Amino acid sequence: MTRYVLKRLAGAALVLLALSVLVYALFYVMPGDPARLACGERCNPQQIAQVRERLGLDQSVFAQYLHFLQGVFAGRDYSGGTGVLHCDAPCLGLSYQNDQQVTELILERLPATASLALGAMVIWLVIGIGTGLLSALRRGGLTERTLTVLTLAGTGTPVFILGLLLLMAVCAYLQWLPFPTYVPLGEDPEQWAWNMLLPWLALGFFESAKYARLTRSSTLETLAEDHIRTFRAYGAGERSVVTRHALRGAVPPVIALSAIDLGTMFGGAVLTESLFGIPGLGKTLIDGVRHVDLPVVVGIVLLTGVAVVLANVVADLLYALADRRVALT
Amino acid sequence: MTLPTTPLVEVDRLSVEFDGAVRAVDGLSFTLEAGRALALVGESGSGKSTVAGALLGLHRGTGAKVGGTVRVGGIDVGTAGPAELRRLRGGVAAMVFQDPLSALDPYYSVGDQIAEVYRIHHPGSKIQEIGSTIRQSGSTIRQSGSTIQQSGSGTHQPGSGIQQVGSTIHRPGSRKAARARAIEVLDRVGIPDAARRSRSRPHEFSGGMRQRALLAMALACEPQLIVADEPTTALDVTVQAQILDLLHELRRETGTALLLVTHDVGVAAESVDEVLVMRHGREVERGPAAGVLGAPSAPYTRALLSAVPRLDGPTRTTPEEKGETLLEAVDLRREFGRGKAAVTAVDGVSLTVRAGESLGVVGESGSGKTTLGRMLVRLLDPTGGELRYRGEEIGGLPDKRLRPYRRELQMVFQDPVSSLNPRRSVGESIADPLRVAGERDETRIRGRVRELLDRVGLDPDRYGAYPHEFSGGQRQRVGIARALAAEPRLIVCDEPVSALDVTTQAQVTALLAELQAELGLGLVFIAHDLAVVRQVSDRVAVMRAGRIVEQGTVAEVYGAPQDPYTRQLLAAVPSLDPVLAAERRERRQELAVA
Repeated sequence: MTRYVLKRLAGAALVLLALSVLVYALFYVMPGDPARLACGERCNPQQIAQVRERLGLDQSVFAQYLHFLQGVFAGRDYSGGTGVLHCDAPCLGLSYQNDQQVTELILERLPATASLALGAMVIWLVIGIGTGLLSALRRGGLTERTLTVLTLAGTGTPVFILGLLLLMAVCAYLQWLPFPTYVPLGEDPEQWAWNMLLPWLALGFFESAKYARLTRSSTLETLAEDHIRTFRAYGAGERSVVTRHALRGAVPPVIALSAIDLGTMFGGAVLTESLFGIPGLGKTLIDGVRHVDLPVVVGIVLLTGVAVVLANVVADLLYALADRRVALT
Repeated sequence: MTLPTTPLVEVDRLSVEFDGAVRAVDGLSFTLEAGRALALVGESGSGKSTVAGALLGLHRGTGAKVGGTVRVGGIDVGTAGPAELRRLRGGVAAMVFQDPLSALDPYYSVGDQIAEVYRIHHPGSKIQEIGSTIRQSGSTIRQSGSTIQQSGSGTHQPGSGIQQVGSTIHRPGSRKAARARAIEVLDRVGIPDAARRSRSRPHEFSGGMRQRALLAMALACEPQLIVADEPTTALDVTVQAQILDLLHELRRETGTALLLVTHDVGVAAESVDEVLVMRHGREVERGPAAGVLGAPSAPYTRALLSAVPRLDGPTRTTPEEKGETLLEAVDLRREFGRGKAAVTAVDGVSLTVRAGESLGVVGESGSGKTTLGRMLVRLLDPTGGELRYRGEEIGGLPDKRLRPYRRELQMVFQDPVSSLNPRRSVGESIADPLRVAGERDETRIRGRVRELLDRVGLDPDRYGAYPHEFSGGQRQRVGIARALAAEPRLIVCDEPVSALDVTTQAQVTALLAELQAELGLGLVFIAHDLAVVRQVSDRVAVMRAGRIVEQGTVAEVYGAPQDPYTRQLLAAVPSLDPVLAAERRERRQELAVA
């Protein structure tokens, strides 16, 4: 078990290294001069050159990448006009935009993204497993057909349309809630929850369609298995057959997929964050790309990479824990 | 003692119809007295398992149309309310299913699953349900009374409801009581260290232990009837014998009645008092086991019995002259995996096969016989030893140079369903080896395939038909035709008849023997069934754990087995004669003690 985790983490480190190389390479084929963008509209060539030197953009790509690696493992110093700026390991560099440390920036934006992703997961698990189970048990009936239509609609509607509809209905038309603004959890938990409600619903409902279909198919598969027949033949009631035996077999793949989806969302649910004005990583990433802010983009991409890889390990572990027949090698 | 004389099971004109069209059971009637044992014997599709399901009302709510009446322990299965139906299932009649791996929930420990079944029938904790517990224990007392009368010896009283309530510390129906009961029954069916092993999940048990666990589950609530649906079909012959012996012993102790569903006449002869032979959902013949199996009156029963390969049946007449040596293996080995995880599947096997000769390879699952068979035709590469075909070393030949030998060495596989491509017509499948051998002329290919279809007893006009349109036996004929297409000199058959009913099995083995004599083929016949191997082989090799423990002519190996393992195998083969079966059971016990 421990060996398995260590092996997977070593593999993850390699993946992340490759990812950082890839992102660096991508940035250098992209048009746009980060020094000019960082300097601002009214900079003269001399000022731009200064900025370029300060950001280290005058060095070769290779040298820049090595500096970046050095920063991650040992920390690095930036010499600015006003003095030396020290950046502790793991240092992902400074934003070209405002000289803010990328690690700080990420830590600042992460809570918003995490609140969105975790809340949405609760919604998609509840709605997804609930409707999936219901449509498996009511197979062939009107309930199932209605639910199939709903989940298909869910999968087919982009999250920003769904979100917009929610905003229009709940905030504009019915006026049950004010238009959401992000309030950090630490500041006011109640306001945080009220303001996150619509983003959660939008993202959760959008994702739940996939989970409903997965739950339905894996429940049907489990219900067709011989051990279900065994417990029916021993007088187990329908409820206990479904909850104890069918769900037990149907849920592990759902949990595993959830872990992976959650990992992906830690890189930011871009559309949802933009639509609801949540200052999360997704929004930051888009801004970073727009301003060719390499350190910010690399930082967030790496974080997403870490989250996805870790989520995969966690998913595998959960799976092995749920189903003892799975051997981790 | 005058007990009510109504039989435990009364089935009256039972008919079961699936999807409106298929009539699986068609007006079947029979009764089973308490404590007695009845076997439903029939080939696949005879409706025997459907009857077993009907006894527990398993067709209710599935859309199947059930006619007639079924009464088990006084409960009318067709009309009983939900509560009574639940009491019937497991409490009055308990089912033992065929495949012990899939019949248990992989997510829970074996002990938990048995405890769950116990708790279903001993809810205990709720006041209104205590009444039903008492009622149940009342019926148990009556049952135990009849047991004493029957077994006479009074070895182990079936723990009657009252006794149990008094003697257990735990409240009946509590989790602890259920766990304790689970361990008790697991121990009873011979699971070593039951308290610890009860926490294992099904996949951590061997096939035989899983079947024991299923029996334990059936015992958990002291039912009056055990319905066993092919309880030993998935097991090796020695394990099968252990399970049948255990079942016998448990019934002697508890006086539980048994309804055994099986396709294996030998298994029935070993286990029951009465036999009911079924065909097409109807009764063919019914009576005491010794009578039906010893002197059958119905033509179908006679045909069925004559098709069953037996250890005292006729053997092949070995051709006088010896053909040339085709295949010679010397110290052949095969390992899978590397380092610590390495498994030696075949561990130094030496054998020869001559033209016109058939060599039987017999062994239990995991003995390495399939690996050996695949190596003999070079579907698998040996990792050691020599393999010579007509004097040429072919064990290490690269694929390219192996080509000319490929067509001379062919294989017939076990599962005729999965070894044929479902999306291609059987004619095309048979034509494959011809095309591989370089034949391009379509009319010649067609002509040859039609000839082959005819040769194996199929209609040549069915060239374009697909595998699903054929029965199991016909599909195996297609497999044989495919192996013959390239005009091989040697064919390895890996369990060619184990998926088939006995009558079909007899036809296919007869076909193989006929083809062999006609074409002078060398034949390697791999099977787990000792009687089948005896019937078709000139010489026999007995495999165990990758080695050949004994090799010789049929007369030598079956007549005077030298190796203890061979003796154990032979003693485990079910006999068709109930008297002989009882003798064998004793001999097995002697062997087990020795």
